[in-house]
Amino acid sequence: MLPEPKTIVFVGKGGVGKTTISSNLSLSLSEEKKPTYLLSIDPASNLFDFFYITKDTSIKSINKYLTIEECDLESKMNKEINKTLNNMKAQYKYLTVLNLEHLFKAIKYSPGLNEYISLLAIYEVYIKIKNNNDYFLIDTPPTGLLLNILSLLKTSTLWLKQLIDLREKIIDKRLFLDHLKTKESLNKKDIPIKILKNEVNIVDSLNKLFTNNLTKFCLIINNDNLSIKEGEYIISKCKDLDISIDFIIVNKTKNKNIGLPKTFKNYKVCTLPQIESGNNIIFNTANIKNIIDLLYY
Amino acid sequence: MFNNLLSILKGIVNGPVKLTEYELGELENIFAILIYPNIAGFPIVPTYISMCLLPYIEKEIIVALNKIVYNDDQFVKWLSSLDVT
Repeated sequence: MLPEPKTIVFVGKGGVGKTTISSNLSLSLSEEKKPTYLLSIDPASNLFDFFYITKDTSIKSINKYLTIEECDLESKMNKEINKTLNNMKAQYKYLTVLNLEHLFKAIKYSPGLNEYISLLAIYEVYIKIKNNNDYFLIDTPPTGLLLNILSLLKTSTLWLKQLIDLREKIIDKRLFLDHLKTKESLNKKDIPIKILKNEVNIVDSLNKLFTNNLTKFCLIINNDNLSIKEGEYIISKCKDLDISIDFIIVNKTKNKNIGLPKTFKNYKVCTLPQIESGNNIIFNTANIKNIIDLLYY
Repeated sequence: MFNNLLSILKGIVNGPVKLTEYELGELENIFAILIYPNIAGFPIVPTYISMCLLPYIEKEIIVALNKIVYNDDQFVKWLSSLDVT
């Protein structure tokens, strides 16, 4: 078993078949006895429906080698907000009237928070499963939200580094003044820098995961103008975010002769056939093996 | 004569302290404005960073708010940092 799992991130327009392909691939890998973890970070995920499972919990073992998880963003968000709320109450005890609950109800709708919770979910799952899985598959939300998630990662990296630099200057000055006034260094522990460094740790781990040689970004498109145009947009936006698309799957193709634009010429491309409706498990093992071979060998 | 010398020496010692305190105040002000830029109308830092730090940077927020109150009187601020009253 490898020390790090091979990670495949499925991206693409809504409805192109990200969940179908990732589920099929994960099933196929588990049939080959490769321990696989499939995570969906789509807030409107239907991963459990695909496996005909009721949503009584967010994690389910499908067989000995396959575990699937639908990230419960709502409860994760509430957990994070409550953590801050409790810290607020502990720090500002002198305020007798501290009715923050109503204020914090609004915070969960703040821009960027949903994206952060998605990133946090990937990080937590990755840390949990990295030592005992061969494959880690991530089923992502449609383009808009996914690009926001990836942008947040890049913006956070820049912000956190600047804030840590500034905070370190503040700590230096405080220690210097303490030393001048009391002739000794008080060396107080600074909680904000601890929080910022913890966030940097999360962001760095995710950056490493997304730029790792074992991580492949797989763009799924259909052979129609809309999804091809959106595919081109995803490729160019990912380039801006220093993420490269490694592989393109043209799903729901009726024949093998597909006309793809020049933008896709330099990519490995694989086609998957149109399936009959009502049948979730669609691809034969040979098709799926082909994807893994094209990605890693 | 001796008293004058003593005040000069005190000034030499306290001068840098006052200036460093002033500099620290400015850094704390910038830190608070970066974390909560909406109070000064700047683009916003990712919300989760503000949320995580909110319980712990009361001092910086107070410094920033005080700076906003006295912001239009920079001359007085400089004079007070140089101990001119």
